[in-house]
Amino acid sequence: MKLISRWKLLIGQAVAMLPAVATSMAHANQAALAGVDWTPQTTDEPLVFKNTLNSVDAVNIYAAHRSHSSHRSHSSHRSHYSGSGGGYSAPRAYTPPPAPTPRTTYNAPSSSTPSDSSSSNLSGSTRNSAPSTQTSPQRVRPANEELSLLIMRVQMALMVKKYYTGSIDGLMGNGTRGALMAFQMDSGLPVNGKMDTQTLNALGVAIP
Amino acid sequence: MLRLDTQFDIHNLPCTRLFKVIAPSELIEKGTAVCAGDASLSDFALWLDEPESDYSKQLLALPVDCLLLPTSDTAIEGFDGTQLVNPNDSTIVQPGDVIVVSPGSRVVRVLYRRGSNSNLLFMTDRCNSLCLMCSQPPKDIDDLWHVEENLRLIDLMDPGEEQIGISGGEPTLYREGLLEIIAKAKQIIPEKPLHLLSNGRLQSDPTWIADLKAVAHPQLTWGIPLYADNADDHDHVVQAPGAFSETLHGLYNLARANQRIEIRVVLSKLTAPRLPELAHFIFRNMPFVQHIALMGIENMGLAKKHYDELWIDPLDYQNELNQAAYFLDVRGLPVSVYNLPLCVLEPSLYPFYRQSISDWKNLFIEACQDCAVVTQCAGFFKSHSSRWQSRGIHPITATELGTYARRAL
Repeated sequence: MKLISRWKLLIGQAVAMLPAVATSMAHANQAALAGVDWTPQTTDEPLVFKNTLNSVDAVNIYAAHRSHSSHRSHSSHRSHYSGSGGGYSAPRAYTPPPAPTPRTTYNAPSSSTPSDSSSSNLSGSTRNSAPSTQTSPQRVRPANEELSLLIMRVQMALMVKKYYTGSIDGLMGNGTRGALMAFQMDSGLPVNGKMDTQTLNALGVAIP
Repeated sequence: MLRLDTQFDIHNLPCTRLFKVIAPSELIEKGTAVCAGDASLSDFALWLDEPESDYSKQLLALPVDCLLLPTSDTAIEGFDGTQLVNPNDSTIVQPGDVIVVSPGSRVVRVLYRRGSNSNLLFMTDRCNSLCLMCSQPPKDIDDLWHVEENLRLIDLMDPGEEQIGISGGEPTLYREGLLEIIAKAKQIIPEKPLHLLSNGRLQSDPTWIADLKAVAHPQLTWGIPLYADNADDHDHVVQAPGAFSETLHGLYNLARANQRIEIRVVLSKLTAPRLPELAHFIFRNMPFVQHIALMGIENMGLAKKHYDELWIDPLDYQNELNQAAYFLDVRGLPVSVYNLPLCVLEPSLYPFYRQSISDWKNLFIEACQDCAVVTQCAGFFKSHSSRWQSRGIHPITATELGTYARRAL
């Protein structure tokens, strides 16, 4: 017999003796047990901490997307990674989104780094290659579909909060940006019209 | 008890579809991350319980493929996709569930229910045994399409810990599909333990060993039925000559592949008398099993037809059940007693007692109205009838509860 089995036997015998020892205790508890209300008490609930959805240093590749016009110049993409202080910071656990299927009228930057200069949508080489293997650091950008879905969710959230009445089209147009800025102003957030992490938190939108 | 299917008026459904039901608030908060695997907006059925509100009308622009209107009996104009309206029972389908709908039918089936204790990947209606008490008699049909449906269903489940069953029929009949499903579950929902019900006969083929080792799912348990310590009795219960030998070989092959195994015994007039011998047999010959479940019979399907051969009042096998359970327990093999009402159980068996009946087919009867322990009782199957009712059924008083509770100390 294995040692562990012997232990089990020993423990089993010890437990078998327990009822004799605990009989008086058990009798004492019987009345109390019968009267116990088994439904959960409100005081039994665990403490609830405020959930901020996205952590302060969460990788938010969507923060840069302010409007269509912002993509005309590459400079508008600079330094929107929260806490990075400008330049590129490697995402800690980023898995590339699935290959994009163009659905919206989102346009990629026309003047930018060579690898995506000719593409009308974000090419796989830009997003899918792991940052560590690249010689010159490149920004990770969301696929069209993912971006459009996030904008739709932001539009819905703004609509629930009565800041937005336009259509839910997944496009960051002037109406959406204006609603976003109004919301940011009322919420005491930096008014930049961007889907930055603290704005998404205030809206209750988790970063995909 | 909440059924798994109901009927809706279904508008504009071009082909059979799986949808993840989602409320707008959850779509805002989580987006497609509400699904464990790959999903897009087109996989959603948007739950609109106030379809007349301005907000709901704005949402019609969303590129979801389906609207679900639980409170409305007419479809909304201005939406091109599928619409499910006018439910027979509006409580059956809820946000978070995954449903399947087909053209030409009003039936909406819930394939995955959020928060349920009994979500299942149903593999097939086919089986290579024909157990006397089978609750779901097999059908000889080609239903390989279940594999594709289950692969998709895995993507659309909620992420998070919960047990998922795999059942049939006999799931191993679709060997490639089953292995594919286990591999996908390992990839997409690794946090969910899998419980796979199989008669273990086909696993007598040793090529399973390498395949299962290759998949190496970290939390897969095989539930294998064994009804006797001898071939005659077992083969008679499963109505298949040679099944005992095949199942034993299958059990050993599963053990060779480092699989977790649970032995399941359905208690009937055929199995109860030799229960202590079966316990002895299991301990001697397969000490590697993780768990032995001794289970009350479900009076469904073929069991009804074989009432005379199967029915034994649970009161009349408590002695054998006690012997078997304690024999295994003191030898370090975990034992559970399933599917019996608590009031027919010997108090000494209470430590092994589990509330085991799946929530969608679990109910209590009139005698339970005054019972003090319904919250701890497994209750009855929804198929329960007076013919299958033990003479021991009675409301348990608070004093009696003390006898049971002391056993659990």
